Amino acid sequence: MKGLGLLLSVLFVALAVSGCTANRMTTQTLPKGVVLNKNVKIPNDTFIAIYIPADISNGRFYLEQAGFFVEPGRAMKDAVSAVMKTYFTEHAYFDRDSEQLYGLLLDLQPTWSFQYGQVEMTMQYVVRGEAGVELLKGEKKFKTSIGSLRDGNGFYNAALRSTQMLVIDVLNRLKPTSQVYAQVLRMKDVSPETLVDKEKPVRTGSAFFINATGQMLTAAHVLKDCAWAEVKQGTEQHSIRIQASSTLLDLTLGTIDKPSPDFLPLRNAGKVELGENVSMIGFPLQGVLAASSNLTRGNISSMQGLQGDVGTLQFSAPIQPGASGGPLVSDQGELIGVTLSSLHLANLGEKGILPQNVNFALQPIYVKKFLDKNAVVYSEYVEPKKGPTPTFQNAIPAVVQVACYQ
Amino acid sequence: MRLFISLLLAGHLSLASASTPTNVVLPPMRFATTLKHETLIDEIKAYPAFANIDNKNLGAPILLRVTHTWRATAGGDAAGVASGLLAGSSLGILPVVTNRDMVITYEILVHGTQIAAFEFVENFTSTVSIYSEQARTGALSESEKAWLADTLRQFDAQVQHHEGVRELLGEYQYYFGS
Repeated sequence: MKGLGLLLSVLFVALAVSGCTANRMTTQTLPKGVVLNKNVKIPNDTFIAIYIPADISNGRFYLEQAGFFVEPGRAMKDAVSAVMKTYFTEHAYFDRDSEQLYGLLLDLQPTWSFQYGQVEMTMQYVVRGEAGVELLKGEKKFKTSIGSLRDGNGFYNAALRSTQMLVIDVLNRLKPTSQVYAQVLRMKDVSPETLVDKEKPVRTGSAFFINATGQMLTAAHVLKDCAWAEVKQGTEQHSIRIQASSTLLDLTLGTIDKPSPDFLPLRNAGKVELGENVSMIGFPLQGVLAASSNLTRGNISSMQGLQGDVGTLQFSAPIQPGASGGPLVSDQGELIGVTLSSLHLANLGEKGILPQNVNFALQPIYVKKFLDKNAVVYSEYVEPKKGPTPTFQNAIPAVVQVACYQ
Repeated sequence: MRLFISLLLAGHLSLASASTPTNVVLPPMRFATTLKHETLIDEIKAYPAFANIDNKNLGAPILLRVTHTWRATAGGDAAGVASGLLAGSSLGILPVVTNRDMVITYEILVHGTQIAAFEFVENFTSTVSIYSEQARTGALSESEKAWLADTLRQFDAQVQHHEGVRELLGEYQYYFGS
């Protein structure tokens, strides 16, 4: 009986595994109810440019229990490419710096949802022609079994069918040809602002002006892979032009190309004292907290970050998501750090440790080196000989919210 | 020709490439792997380029990540399932036979952004009892370990010439010194 139990267990596992796998669908068949008009010839000779948000196409996460990466982004991109190759003679993915010419631009905003072992892709799309004019828009969905996460076929199939449906829609309704939509539009001429979802930023953070010309600093991870980025200053919004970035320091320099009367001076000689009072100014938890700036107080807890860290100091002023990139200022309003991160609590919580207010900022000497390397004009704090001494509150107007769109 | 030799002897010319790079030695960094291979970190640290790896460097901005995955081959999956059913029906007397590609990827990341990636693929046919340690723990076989060691050697050689890695070292030197 014990042997029979073992046999049944092994058979069950084998069947379960084979039943869980989903084979990759092909473009040879269409979803039920979807028909390509008879007078539409494929492959179509219009050159298609395709925009997909970077966070979606690069989507990838590690499943620790199973020991492998799950890559829905790669599966989706493979599926989109497979559909494009079937229905169009040529296509290319959008690159804002590219001189590549195209005839029509397909702006995709895909989202995944999951329910009871199934994955659904919702593909919102806009087809744009000359000058970004909207020619067609719509939404297609397809739900299928998620299958084995290892091979990603569930993600592939959901993306394949939803892309097929939208392409059929484009071909049936627009009836494009290379004569009507000639390959004369240049990717570089497209304003990324027309491509992104302005309703929903993928990321928000904080930034601060470093001089009167409108140049500002923020954390590099806030503006990573943004197709479009904006600063919110009161009721106004200004686009950000990235000028320099350091992945190593996690620091980015941008400009709004507009004068800014309020900016932060750096600490003279750059030295920070252990125990010194600090204020963290930023715009955390956008959509939850008030839209105005947020200020928390604390002190410098350590002149070093975690073991192996270079360039950061530790401070105790509380921060929340969205505070990244905001300045750490002294009681006189000098810049003494750039807020970067907080200690990740999950792993420590498992060990029974619950640290509080363990936050990290880039030290001012490295901010200075970055500014010098990129020939940026900045000022250093000088105590006024007459009149009142500035306070940390003087720094508030120099701090702005940034939003990243894809 | 005489002029060439004279200049060479005078030290004004070198037969070595004028652009021979100095050996790459990466700064202190973290290490993560998906492989169940306990000595892997020691094997990597034996290469001077990666001598500064330490699992205690929790705050280091640079991460060396070594991941692996298996890719099915044509016919390999079907044969594997059939073999699995036979193994089960024989109560484990018959081993499970699989044929698949092993993919090893070495990535160097800075604050989560990939600076360099190197992928190696090799086909393996394995014969494993369902009661074995290997089947239970997912440990590598001896042939897989030997191939892994060879990929490590190739990874080290390729890192020496990778432009992104050299740029990273230059930037690290500028901000944090040697």
